[in-house]
Amino acid sequence: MTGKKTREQSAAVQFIRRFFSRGIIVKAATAIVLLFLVGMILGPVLTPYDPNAINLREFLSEPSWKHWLGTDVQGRDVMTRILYGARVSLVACFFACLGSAVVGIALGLIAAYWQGSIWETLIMRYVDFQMSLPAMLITIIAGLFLGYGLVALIIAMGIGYIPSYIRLIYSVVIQLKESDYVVALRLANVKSIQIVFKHLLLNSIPSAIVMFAMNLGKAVMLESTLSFLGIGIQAPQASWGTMVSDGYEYIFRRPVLCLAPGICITLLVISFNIIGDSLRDTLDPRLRGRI
Amino acid sequence: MPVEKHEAGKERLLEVNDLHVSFFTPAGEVHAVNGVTYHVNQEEVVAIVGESGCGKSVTQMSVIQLVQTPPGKIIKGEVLFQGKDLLKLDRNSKEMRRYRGAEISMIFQEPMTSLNPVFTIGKQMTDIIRTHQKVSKKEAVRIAVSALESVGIPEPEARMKNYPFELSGGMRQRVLIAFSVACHAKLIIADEPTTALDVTTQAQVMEVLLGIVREYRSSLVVVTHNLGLVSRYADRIYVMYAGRVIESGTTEELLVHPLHPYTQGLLNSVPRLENDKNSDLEPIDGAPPNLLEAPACCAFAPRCPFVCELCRTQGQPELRKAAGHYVACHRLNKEE
Amino acid sequence: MTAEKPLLKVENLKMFFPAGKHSRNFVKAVDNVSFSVMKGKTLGLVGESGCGKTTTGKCILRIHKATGGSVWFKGNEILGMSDQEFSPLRRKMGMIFQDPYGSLDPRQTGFSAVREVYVEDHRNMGRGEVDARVGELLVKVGLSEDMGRRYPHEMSGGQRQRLGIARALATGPELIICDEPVSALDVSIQAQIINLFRKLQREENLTYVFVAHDLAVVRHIADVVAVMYLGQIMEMMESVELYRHPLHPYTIALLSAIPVVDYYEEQKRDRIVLEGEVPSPIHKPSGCPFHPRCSRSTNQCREAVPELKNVGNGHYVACHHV
Repeated sequence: MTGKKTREQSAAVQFIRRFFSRGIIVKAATAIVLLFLVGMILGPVLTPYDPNAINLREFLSEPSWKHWLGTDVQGRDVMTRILYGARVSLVACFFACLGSAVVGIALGLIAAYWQGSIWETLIMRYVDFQMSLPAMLITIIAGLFLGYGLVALIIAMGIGYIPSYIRLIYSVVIQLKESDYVVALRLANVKSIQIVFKHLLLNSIPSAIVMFAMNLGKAVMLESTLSFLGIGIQAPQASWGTMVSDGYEYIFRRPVLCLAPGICITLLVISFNIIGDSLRDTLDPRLRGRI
Repeated sequence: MPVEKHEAGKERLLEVNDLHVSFFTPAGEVHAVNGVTYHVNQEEVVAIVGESGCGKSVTQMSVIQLVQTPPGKIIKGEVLFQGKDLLKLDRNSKEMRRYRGAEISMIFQEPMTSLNPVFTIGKQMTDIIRTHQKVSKKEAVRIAVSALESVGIPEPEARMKNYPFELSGGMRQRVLIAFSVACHAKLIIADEPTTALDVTTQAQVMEVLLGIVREYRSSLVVVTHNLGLVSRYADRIYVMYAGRVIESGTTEELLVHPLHPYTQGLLNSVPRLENDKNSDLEPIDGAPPNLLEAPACCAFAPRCPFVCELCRTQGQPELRKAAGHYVACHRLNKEE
Repeated sequence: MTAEKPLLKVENLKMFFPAGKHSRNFVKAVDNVSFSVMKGKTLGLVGESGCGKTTTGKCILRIHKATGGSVWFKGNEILGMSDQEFSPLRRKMGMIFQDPYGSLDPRQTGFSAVREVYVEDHRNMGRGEVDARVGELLVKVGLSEDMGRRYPHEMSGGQRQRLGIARALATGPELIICDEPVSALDVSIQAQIINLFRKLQREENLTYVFVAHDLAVVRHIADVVAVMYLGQIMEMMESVELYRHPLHPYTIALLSAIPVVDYYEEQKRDRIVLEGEVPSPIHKPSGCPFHPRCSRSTNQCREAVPELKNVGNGHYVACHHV
């Protein structure tokens, strides 16, 4: 039994080593994401300020030792707001992507395994319908129905990403279903439910993970756009999108108000995309298992 | 019959000396080719025989510097083509490209991979002809048509307008042979040319290939695992195992009096038409070694039925002359 | 031949695929194929690509739904059965695939792949006993306990195929359809696997339908050989007969096209190189499907499909000139 364990461990270690062996850029991207995560968690400890406390005596102050990135028009510390904003951006995006992944994978599996049934038609027509509309529009409409707030934002964004997972899992599972090992299991009378969950699901997860990382990047972007437009997170809660939107008016007097959250968004989006790319290459079965 | 006599009066076309090729993978360095030495004379058909992973294809790819780099790397060795060392040339240089297309032509197992799917056969053929020869477009078309005709493709003019996917596997393989005809290649390297084809098509393609080689007085290197094919067409054979040549000689010598235990085992494991149903085959036990470590001793020792103390202590055996041909085996070399 | 009942009997099996989404034509992949196999014997189905040999095997297992004909297994007609009726019989039939890697789940160890199939029929057996039985199966096909803990990509081609065989055996089959089981393997490994098939047949009294394109491989395993061409059986006879007295022009050409390893034998053999290639089954020639490539073809061959006639000693030929 111990032998089995070491083999599995070494597979995980090998995976991580291969993932990072793809160069300095992947390491940097992972470091950036980790940095934001740490900042997000330790935010309240790291800064003495309240992100929403208005202090009109210190409005629009320049970056200094007291306020590293200065203060905004209401005198709130920008650094503090970026750290708190990361919570919204990361948490909202993570749960939106996770939720859409779970729903999308389930629907994709159903559509693919029971190909030819009414479920397949319904699910795939829904995908076609939603994909013909821009994701942004879907989210805005959903947002209007669900109202404002973090949970509403998560659901609204999540809905937008469901079809991408359905499509992906559908195509992967359709291929897997024809593979000889699934035929072999069916010949041995192994139950459909077991084939679906034990074999098809597990083998399509790697593609879904890649999709997940890619979607995280997109979601950070979407959340910022929505907040910028005033649909997402509402004042006074901090989010990078609202910060860009607020700072926009003072872009010439105090560019840091706009640039700081803007750079954070860019860094995070690029990092997620790089990680996604690298995951795809590392998980590619054509590259796996070769000496 | 000594090898030298057979080769008397023939000029060497290709000579490969002590070639080492490795692949650098996350798991470590794979020593795919560990000091391969062989030669091909003019107007000769040489077969390189071995099982998958023995380095036979990698060796051929190294000759024309088509080994994917990275992860592959030619560590050392010489590839003398008409006396010139091709490994000294840059792999992307104009001169290397000329050797690769015009002097040495390669035919792969799956012809679809060496044809561009978005251009017609005619376009691809005339392009290649015009990169290697200074001829007009019209002349290039004429050369291409006659090349297609010479490999037995019916209605060559019409086929010129076809895309690769419109042809069958056998026809595509003939088109590749026509490429080497059009370029007057002196050496044709065919890597498992018929493995992907049906038995009856296989025979057709081999007959066409051999016909071309004889007619244009070229040389042919066939890389294959099919010993029947070798017996029918080859003049000389090199048997490879774990990245080294372990036995070489004329086809007759090698197939009738195989000396190396691996060659003997290989010949015994081939299912034969003439055998009885009730006879078991005699396979070689075990599996080929993985080449993550360059073998310190004879790589076949773990599977060899005649293994002795020497095999494990004496390092890798050298290819030495024994009973009319060359064999790399400590036991036989000791007896000599 | 005794009056013993065959284990598997295929009668006029037909499998037509539509030639395209909107086409009314059919690809006649299998057209009127009949044969039977006695218990403990092996039938070799031989032919070039597109001859319908694999499709025939898959129709027997109901992986494809046959267009017509009947298949009798242990005295029951199985093509007309409902899924529930067929279910217990299905486990008496196994399949071994050409590509040993594709036929294994890359995320499952060898042991658990066999166990998963075995446990289906042995739900009330204790865990320890199941593990012991699965272990025995692995040993039977020549895999060590350590091998069972490996994933498919950590095994060699031969080991994967052994695992595929163990999994097929796990359902306790009487009939195994082997679809080109050794064609992806190297020569020295091929011989090991062929010997394993022969050993298992002796020990378990298994019946094989052995689909292959290599006549020499079939020579070592089959009792009866059926040569297929474009969905039809051209010649069928005992394996010894096939190699000594082939009668059909296609069989003769096929045998001649295979180069033999014996050097002197090969040098003195005369070779028949057939003209042209196997036509696509969509444009199947009229009459005898082989007539466009046959040296003895006449008007009769162009017009009438030859019947599979018994010419004595259980030797059947479908040719107007025999």
